[in-house]
Amino acid sequence: MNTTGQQRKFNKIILLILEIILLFYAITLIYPFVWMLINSLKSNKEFFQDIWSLPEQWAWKNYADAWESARIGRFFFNSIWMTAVGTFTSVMSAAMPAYVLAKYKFKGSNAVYGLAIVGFLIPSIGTFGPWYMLMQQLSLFNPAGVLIGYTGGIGFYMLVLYSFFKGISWEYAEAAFMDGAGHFRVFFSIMLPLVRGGLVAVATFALIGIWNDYFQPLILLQSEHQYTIAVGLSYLVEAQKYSADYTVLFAAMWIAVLPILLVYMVMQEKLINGFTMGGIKG
Amino acid sequence: MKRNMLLGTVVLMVLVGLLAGCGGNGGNEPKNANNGNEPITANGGNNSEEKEPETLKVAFFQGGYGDSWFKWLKEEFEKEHTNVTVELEGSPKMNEILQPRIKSGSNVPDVAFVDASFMKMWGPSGKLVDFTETYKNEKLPDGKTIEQSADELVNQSMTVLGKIYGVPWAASPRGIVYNVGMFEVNGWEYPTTWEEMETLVGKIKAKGIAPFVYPGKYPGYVQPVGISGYLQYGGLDFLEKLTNTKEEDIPGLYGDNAIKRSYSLIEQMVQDKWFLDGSLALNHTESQMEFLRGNAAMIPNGGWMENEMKDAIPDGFKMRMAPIPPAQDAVVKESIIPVDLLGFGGIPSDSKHIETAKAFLMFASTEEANRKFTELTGSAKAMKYSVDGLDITEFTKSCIEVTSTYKNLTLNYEPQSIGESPGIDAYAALLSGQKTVQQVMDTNVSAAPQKWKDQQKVLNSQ
Amino acid sequence: MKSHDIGTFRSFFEYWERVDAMKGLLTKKGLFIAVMLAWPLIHYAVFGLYLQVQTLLYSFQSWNPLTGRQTWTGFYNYITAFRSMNSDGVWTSAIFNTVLFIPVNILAVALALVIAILLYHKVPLARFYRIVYFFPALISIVVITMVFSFALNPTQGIVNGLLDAVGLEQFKRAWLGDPQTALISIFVFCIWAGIGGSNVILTGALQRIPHDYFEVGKLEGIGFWKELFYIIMPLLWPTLSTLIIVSTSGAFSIFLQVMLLTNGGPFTSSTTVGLEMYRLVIEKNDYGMASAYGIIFTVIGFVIVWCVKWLTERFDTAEY
Repeated sequence: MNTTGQQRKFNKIILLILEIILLFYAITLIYPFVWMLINSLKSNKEFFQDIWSLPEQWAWKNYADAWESARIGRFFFNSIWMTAVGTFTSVMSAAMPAYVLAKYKFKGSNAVYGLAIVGFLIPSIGTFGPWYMLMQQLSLFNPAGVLIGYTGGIGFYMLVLYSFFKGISWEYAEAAFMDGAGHFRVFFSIMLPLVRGGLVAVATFALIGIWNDYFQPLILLQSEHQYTIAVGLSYLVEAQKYSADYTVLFAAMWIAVLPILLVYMVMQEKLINGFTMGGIKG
Repeated sequence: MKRNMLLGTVVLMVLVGLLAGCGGNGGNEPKNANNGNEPITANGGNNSEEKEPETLKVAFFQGGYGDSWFKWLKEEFEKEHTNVTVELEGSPKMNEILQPRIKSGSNVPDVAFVDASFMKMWGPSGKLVDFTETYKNEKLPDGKTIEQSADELVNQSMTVLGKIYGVPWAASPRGIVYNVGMFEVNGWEYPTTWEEMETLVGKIKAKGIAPFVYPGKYPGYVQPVGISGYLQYGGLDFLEKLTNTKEEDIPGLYGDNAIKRSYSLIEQMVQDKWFLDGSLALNHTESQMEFLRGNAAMIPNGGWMENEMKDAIPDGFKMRMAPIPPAQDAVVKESIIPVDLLGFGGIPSDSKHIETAKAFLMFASTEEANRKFTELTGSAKAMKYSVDGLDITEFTKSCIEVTSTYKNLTLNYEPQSIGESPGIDAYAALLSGQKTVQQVMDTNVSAAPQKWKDQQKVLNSQ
Repeated sequence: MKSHDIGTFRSFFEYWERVDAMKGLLTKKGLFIAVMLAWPLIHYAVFGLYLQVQTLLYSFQSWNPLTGRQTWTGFYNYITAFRSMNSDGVWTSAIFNTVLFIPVNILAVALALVIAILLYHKVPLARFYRIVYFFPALISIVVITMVFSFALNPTQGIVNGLLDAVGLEQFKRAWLGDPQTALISIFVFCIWAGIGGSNVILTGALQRIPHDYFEVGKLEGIGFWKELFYIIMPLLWPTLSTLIIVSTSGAFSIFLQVMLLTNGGPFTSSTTVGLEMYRLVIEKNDYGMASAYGIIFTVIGFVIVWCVKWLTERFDTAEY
């Protein structure tokens, strides 16, 4: 009795400590945004004098300046359409090979599956130089080049969807074939809806990945009006290096961050569900 | 530009002397009689009404000089050539983003103002229009060619294997900027010798202020101190060897006392804690911010600094550009002001409007445009022109004064020289305290013969 | 009701129709498979195989920096690579640091697991935590690195400020500017910002585990650790092992965090392969050397990731 009592007390203390750690971690994640918000409302001179003080006068003008000078609207527009197109194409180009590998027997199907595993194991950064040259030769230093980069279907997403397709009975397809449906129709109107869970999971991944993708757009996008949010922000950081205009930069960052946070707040249940539905297995 | 700018890798041959810069030789006398107010007739603007409308795309590196000068150029050029619309594209990343565009020939601008190292990279491989003819023969409105309006040293640095691929852009002194107000309040004087500098540093420290701050992320900012040392402790002989190297120089070159002395100055600054604590973590605006906040009395920096920080300079803050003073054991016992030639303006070969682009470059090199550059950016064009009557700040004036009073130094490496390339990281290594002077020098000495071989191979394969 | 006759006729007819359809299917099937695989295979052939072969070929070539002309130079690039790894140590440091990111990333996954379990057990505010912890995965890395580096700013950062406030002045550092702490600070950043993504995935996986497993465990009165090792780990292993492999190979492309936080410095203390590769290609246009280093690093990376994969598979069988 006594020992369990002690044990319980001990557990309670541990729980309390853990709770404090969790709370502390949460605060460290929130604080930067608050800090940024406060500093985005100062004049630049004020900021340079003290980065911790509250603004003397709330300089909402910074936000207007940021919106005007930084083309954030344009960046948003680019991010949205590129993410939409990129998510769709990347999921589709993974679903297509996943489906035929899982459901059709043909020579070389194992080899294609193996390609995905090998691609996993080889760090792609090694081919950066030749990639850079290839993209030059193909004149793909533009949004098309970025989008093509997302359509490498044979990889992680394919493996995930493969296991989903494997888990679906072939009978549905048989029945449809009997009704005279072609392969494409079976794929699009019967099999794809059946793996909705997997598609949602993979699409969630792709969505967040592409929205925040930085590496490819940074190198391939060549002018300000093509920039996505991620690259646009780094461009602003770069520009700020030569004008030392931090406070407007913070305002711009807030404008860029806010919609994401709002959408996330609304969608966060769905997002978690998306991950729950997708059994991410290797 | 300046961050990417590695002094050592830029151009061709050594010249020590007065740079064209703002003041002209010796004083502030105007070099050219023309005031630059006459209209530009370079390419027959009168007939432009009948010409087809065209769009001239001008891409430029938008760094510390901002974009105001280009906006002015656009406006004036369009007035003169009514059929031409100038489309400006400025970006702080222009140096990076233009490379793939030039190489693949897609989305190529008609005029590019970028880092001077691209002259070397694009010129000989045919990516830039050969501008030699225009540079040497075409006359600016005042009757002089660009070649005649630029200093000998600038002309040489614009030459890549005998050809010229554009017009010079900015020139900037890179010395030590100090906080004038702080110096006045404490009764300090900017030193004329390194020993005085040591004493001064002692006094500043006693006040609880850091003598220096610099951006640790970009160690190149301290390099001018070292480069001045090459001249101060090695003299012209050493500079000649460094920049116009012969095979027999190689074994001893990077072990030379001049280099050792220069490096040890840097080491001394680090070991005796001349720099603000934490400098190593800063980027350039952060370090400049510390300087403006009075946490450090001095900062090694360039003429662009004021323009770069113009929104952040506290009211009444005064600063001046100053040269690097020599120590007792110097061979050349003079204060030196290193001067960087920053960037160039050229025409990519894939441009569809080469003639108009040439006219634009000529226009950008007129005295009027040069004066405007100084007025708008507070910095100097790398050409000879008068700055009389311009409304410029105290800091800009100090830059002009420094370049016209003290010995200027620009390292222009001959093609066969390997420059500082074996020691390019030397400053980073020394400033971070990761290596000693001896270690850095040993690395340089042992790497030099191979570097030399590689460099000659490249040249011979020409 | 259909008459017998008609029925026979119909089935006869249907039979032929089906045979016809089967024939059609045979060729159509081949076409279908071809169409479905065409783009992914082309993409793989170009961006996977071709680039890999090209890297190998380029690694034996040099580009004349003046003319851009390409020439074969044999093992010259490799010799230069190993020589410079020996002398200046930039790439040695880059490779070493990059490999160190593997345990760091795996640690982030482990912490994410612990947090996911804690949140699963409904500690107070669990929902709030779950929302907040995902922030870094949502927001552009440019923003996150910027606020992080301001927090670590040597003179004005909150970290040094807090140390001052609690009287631990002696621990104040220039964090990102101190060769001793720069890399560690980046590690901390990667964990701090990297937990969120894995956490959400693991939370998803946890919620799929039928509740009965935990109920049984509870009835038997097993403790936290036993629950972790005997129930959760085996059930989550497919997800976990995937995360481990992904974060292992993810370590090899780490570049941005470093570029934005320290630019690889001071000197070379926090540089990575990705960053050096970027410099070699974008800033120096030295494709030959980049390819040689690329090959060297690909071999190292392949061996390491393969080992990790092998290990996770070993665990897989051991756990069940």
